[in-house]
Amino acid sequence: MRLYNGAMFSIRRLLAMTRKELRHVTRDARIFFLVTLSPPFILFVLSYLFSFDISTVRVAWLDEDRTPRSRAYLAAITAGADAPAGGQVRPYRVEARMVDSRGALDAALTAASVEVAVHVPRGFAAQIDRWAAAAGRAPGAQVLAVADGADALSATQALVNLGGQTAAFSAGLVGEVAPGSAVTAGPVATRIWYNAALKSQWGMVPGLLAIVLTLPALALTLAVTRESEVGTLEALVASPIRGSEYLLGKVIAYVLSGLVSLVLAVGLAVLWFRVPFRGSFPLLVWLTVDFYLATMGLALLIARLVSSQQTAMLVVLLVFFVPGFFLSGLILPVNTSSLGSTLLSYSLPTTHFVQIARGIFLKGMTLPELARPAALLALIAIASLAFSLLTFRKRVV
Amino acid sequence: MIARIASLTVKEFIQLVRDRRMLLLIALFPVMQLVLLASATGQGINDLVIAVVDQDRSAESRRLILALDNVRELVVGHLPASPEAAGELLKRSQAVATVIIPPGFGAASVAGRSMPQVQLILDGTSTNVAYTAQFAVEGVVNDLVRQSSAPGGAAASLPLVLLTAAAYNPALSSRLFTIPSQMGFIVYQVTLAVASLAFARERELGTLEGLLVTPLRRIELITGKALLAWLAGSLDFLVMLWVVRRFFDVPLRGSFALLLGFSLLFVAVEISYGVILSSFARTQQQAILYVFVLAMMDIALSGYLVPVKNMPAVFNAIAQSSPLQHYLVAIRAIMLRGAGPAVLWPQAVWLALIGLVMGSVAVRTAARRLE
Repeated sequence: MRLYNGAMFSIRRLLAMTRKELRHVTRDARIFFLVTLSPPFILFVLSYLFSFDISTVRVAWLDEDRTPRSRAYLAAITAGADAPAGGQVRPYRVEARMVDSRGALDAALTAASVEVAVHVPRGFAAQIDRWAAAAGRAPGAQVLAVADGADALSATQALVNLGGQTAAFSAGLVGEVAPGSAVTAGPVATRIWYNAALKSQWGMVPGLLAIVLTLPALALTLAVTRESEVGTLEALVASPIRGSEYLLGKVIAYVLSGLVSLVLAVGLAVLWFRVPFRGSFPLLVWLTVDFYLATMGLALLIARLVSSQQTAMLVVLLVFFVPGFFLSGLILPVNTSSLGSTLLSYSLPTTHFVQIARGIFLKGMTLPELARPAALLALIAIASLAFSLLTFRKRVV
Repeated sequence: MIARIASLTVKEFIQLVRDRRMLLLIALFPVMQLVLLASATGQGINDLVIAVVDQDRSAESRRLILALDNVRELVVGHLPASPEAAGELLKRSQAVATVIIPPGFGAASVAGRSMPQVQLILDGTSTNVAYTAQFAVEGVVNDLVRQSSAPGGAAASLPLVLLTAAAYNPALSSRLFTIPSQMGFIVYQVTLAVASLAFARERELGTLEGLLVTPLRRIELITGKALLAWLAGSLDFLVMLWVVRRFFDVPLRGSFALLLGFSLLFVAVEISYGVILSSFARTQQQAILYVFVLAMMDIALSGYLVPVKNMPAVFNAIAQSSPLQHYLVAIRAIMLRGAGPAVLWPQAVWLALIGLVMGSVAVRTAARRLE
């Protein structure tokens, strides 16, 4: 039985609710900070913490050859970065420490006082001379580099860089000892797109946006649960506002204030971290709204299922933050080896937004190219918001 | 005094066994978490999809494609007709790298010339992925070229070749890095959770007053509570170690006694943090929330995900104050590299120092907050 006028969904009441909520956000310093300022702030800190760039590689160097040629090789390695064909120089340095036995090489690796152990064998220079005399028909010299595999990512990076420098040195040798021979530099010519110097920050800063922009959803959870804890829900229950208007009004208010933090965070990424922004900003705003609706939908779902503010906060943190680092493809690619882990990763809004943010920032991707992550986010948003709106009852718990 | 502490510990133990939720928190939850995280991230970087443009179409180029597909890290998912089509795949993130085999690749190996360079184009968006792909592709192509130019092969060779290998982890799989870290992190979590609930639970249930009027002295009360957390944390370590070695094939190359020693010390240090949190928390939920916030900070600073040495100097210095960081360094060194006390004494000294400072802070705070 509809007793009051306007039992239908009313845009006017929705806007009133949004206005009230916005006033809440701007008036309460804590919430204002959480929604608008904390995402760029946390992005700032995390971007420094999550750096995979190795600025210095420590190398234990065993030179059994002791010839001008072997010393020239060491000098070429420690002289610094190779310039890949992409043009930009990778910002890293090699610090070599001379050792005089194989035992010392092993000990340095075990103590983790170096990342790589390099062994230049006796006969290094002689072999290069034999190679030159045979005009490339004889095998060349071989040097062994052993990295500490305990940290696989750093080891891979160090070995790739040493390999690049060795190839550059080898190409120089060809010109020097066998000019006119048909031998080219290395077997592989590598070019890197979108991030020529392979600066990890360029990939991590847009990726971390997906982590920090879940904070407005956390704030929404707090706002919803607090209303019943503080007791102001009672007054709202007595007002003619409908449940769906109440929830939607809150969501709109938090999406709007969340966009402020998006602008600040993108400004930080572009102006401070110098991450190139190659796509369209309106598209990023549009897809961020998509992402906000998905995270807020899930947050409302959680708030529906648990009663107290603290529990809700804990569950939201558990759902958004921790898997955000592990399962979203931020650090390691999404594990698609089993159906379970694939489903788990793709049900997280963060996974899709990592793709969107990196795509727009670094690759300049357009909406048709981002259709899949955008559509999946919209699906999560519609399903979870519909559930919350349909099951929400105005009632004092 | 010993008798009073012992009886308190027995009481705590009975309470623990009776409380299903707590038991779940200590016994089942950590194992589930380990299995979930390890299976989600422990595979490392495998099966990266790459595109190969074969402009040569010789037996040699087909051998290269097969070899690329056969390494653990790579899957040849696309064979586009042109470099432009491959570039489109890269832009849409449907492939992380493109390999272009130039015309004349196979002919060179037959004719005895140097082989033309294979082009590799990487998507630099995720640097971890790019490095892994580059390492794998270069390894495969180098091997193939070396075979063709070996004595008996026909192609010309290079003057200098860098052979690469990885000690302790020949396959360079990141599981050997992440799984021991996860083990250490779970021991950390359980210890902190149990210790932080020590007083918070009594306070919430209203039984704290009862305890305070017994002849137990403050220090005995704190010790008794800490003892249980210490037992829980240590037991958890043994279970986790068994799971990690039995089901995840992580080696233990160093001494078990040293690892155990480090773990017992670490658990003791973390308990002082737990006791401090516990004396501030009004309810159990609040205590768990504090633990969560502390854990977030420690994850970021401990080198759990990212090696500490990559961080800027300021964070690097802060990281030295995190016991978890020193413990993780020790776990990895002992389990993977078989390091001994000669290498790890700085970590032991740091842990002991932090333990002494935080321990005295904990006793003082708890004693004051219990008034």
